[in-house]
Amino acid sequence: MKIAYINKTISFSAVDGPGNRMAIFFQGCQFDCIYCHNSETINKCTSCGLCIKECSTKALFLSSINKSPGWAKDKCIECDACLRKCPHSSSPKYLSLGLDDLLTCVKKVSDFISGVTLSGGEVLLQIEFVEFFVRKLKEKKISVFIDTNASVPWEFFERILPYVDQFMIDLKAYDNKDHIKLTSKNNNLAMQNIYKLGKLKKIYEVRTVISEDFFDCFKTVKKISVFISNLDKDIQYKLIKYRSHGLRKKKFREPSDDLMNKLKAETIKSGLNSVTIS
Amino acid sequence: MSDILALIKDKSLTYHQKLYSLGMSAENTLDCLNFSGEAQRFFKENIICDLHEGSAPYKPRYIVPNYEKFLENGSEFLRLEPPKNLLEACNALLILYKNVPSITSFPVYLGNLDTLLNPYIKNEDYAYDILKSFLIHIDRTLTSSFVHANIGPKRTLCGEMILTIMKELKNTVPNLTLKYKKDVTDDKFLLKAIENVIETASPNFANDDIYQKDFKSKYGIVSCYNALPIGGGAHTLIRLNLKNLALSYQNFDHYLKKGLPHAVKIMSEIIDERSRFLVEESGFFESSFLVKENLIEKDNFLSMFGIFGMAEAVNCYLKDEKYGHSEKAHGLTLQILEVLENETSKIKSPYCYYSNGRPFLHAQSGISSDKDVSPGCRIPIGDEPDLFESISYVSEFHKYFPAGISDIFSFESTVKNNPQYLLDVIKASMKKKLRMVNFYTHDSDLIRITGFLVKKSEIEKRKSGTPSLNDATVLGEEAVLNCKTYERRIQK
Repeated sequence: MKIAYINKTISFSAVDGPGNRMAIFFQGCQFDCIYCHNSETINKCTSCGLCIKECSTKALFLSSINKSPGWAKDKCIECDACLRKCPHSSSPKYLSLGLDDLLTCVKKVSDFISGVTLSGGEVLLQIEFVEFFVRKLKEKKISVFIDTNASVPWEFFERILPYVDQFMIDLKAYDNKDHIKLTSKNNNLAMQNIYKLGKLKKIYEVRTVISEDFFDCFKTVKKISVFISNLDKDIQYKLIKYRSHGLRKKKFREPSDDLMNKLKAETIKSGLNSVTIS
Repeated sequence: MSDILALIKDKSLTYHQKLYSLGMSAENTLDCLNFSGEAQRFFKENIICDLHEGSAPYKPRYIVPNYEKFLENGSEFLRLEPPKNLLEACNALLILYKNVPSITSFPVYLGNLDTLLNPYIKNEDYAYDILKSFLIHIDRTLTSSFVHANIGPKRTLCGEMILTIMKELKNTVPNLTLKYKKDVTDDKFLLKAIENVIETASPNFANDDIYQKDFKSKYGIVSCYNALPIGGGAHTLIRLNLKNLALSYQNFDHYLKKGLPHAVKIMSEIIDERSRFLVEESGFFESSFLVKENLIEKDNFLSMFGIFGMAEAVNCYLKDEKYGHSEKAHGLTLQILEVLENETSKIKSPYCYYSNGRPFLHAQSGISSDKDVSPGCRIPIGDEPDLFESISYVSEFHKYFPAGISDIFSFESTVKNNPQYLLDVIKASMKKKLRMVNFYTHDSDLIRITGFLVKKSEIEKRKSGTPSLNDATVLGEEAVLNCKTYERRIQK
């Protein structure tokens, strides 16, 4: 399918891989993480229309063509009132874009960027489009990184391996019971895929969001760091401090700098060459 | 008289700051310059501003000595032989620096330090200690953020050492520019400079390929980010307030076809009168040892034609659109710049020796007392679009300003984990033909005001009445208040 559902694009990002990268956020995710900071990327719009009345600048309207909300970007002041109102972890502002649309976006900034990072949501749920897209980017010699939770069939990875330079993986927890508590899904598929990708030296970075409310932090980071260290010591492990911004109403404990530093010290023992705190 | 007494008793000023201000006060009691009634009106209505250059110009505003010649030949006046080693070279430069006048009383250009000093480096450890003392000496005695050194474009041992030392010292002086030249400045040098930027908001990055095309000989980046010929300088820089001019012209077409050409004519009159006094009456070029020893030559002097308030001027002619966010605004700006380019190219000033009579355009960075008017062609602080949009918006404007223009961007400190990001942005900015870019992380103590550096901690100390060694701290304090410097958009 040559249409993608795109939540947003960021022309310049310093935090989505090495160098300046264009970040493209795909709509849709199969997880429902309790701490998700961009939960408006999880589901497709159901056209319930509840968001339309919330908009103070009339940037949202009912499209007569397909009855889903239309969005006038030039009137939008990005107050996020529509996102807060949405009961479906979705957004009225994501776009349906074709291959040429996205390639044009990339071309506009190509002089400035080291490459493109596909993120989301979960990018690989739109594998049909993604395969075409990354193939085209590779033809244009543009570096491609993909942010993923890796919980998709291995076959999806096989289709795009020749065109993707590196993957950045969000591993939410090591123990399945923790993973299910956080995401409502187990991590068996993710672990298998991480293993394979690691052996192929296709993993740039693994990330875990940290809060004392999620799991035993020391045990978790130790097990994850040993796991990935045994695959490839050059994989960067990023410990991300949970931060309570985002639309989710339930908030959790934000870890202290002291805790993060101690966790970093613990992970370094695994022999990984790079552990950072974000 | 009471103003002068108040100055003398002002406990927040250092001795040197008082001395400088007393000198200015004396100069400003004179009435040596003859301006037409129209020029006087322009001054009174703040359409033109002389940036407090003084009523009787007795020294060029900016002097850019040929330090290469100085190190080769020494100086008879200063009784200095050509230096034979690094210690002598640094000592000689420091002595010369103290004898170079300017608008601030301190030298606005210190030379291309790495190419000047690299040949003298024999022992690395010894060189490091000398260079460190040299740079500390500069910070503590040439106490102005407008004191400006250059490095590059090629990476050298000396250039790398200077960067290492400046990162360690975290001083506001000297202001530093790395001249970037494609295929000459390597990524290693750039990445090292970026480490400095993250900690110290310095160096700036100048587009050597573009600047060198505008200057028939070598150039230096001086003061804030002005570009001037080496071995020469600028008699004067006065600036045109495009916003205040626009207030007299309701119709954009009239502004373009009547207002701007008339303002250029008045600017030209004022530039010439100020230059005339300096060149023909003050005796500077007859008496200065810098001229006698050919460290500067009159033929290498020109004048600078400054402009500011472009954003607010353009906004006068827009209804629901704004500068920085609108293609129409962009188009109007280019039209204004084309008129300025054409009109200034017709000027035949008898004193712009270097540039065949033509003053060079300069996007003036604003002064601390400016309120509700933006520097040069910059997008107003607090109203900036994202980084890509900002750079794309201003990139076409830079070519009009051979005497200097710069844009400043502030970043989240997360950028320190990804210096490659800034490398990509710098190289692409140069490719897009920006003349100069400056960066800083918003949580660093050193902050770039309009083109010069100040420490936030020094600003805070001054607020409690403690004098600051750096003269520019006062300006920084005012700019934070009037120009909303702390509200610059933080690019993520």
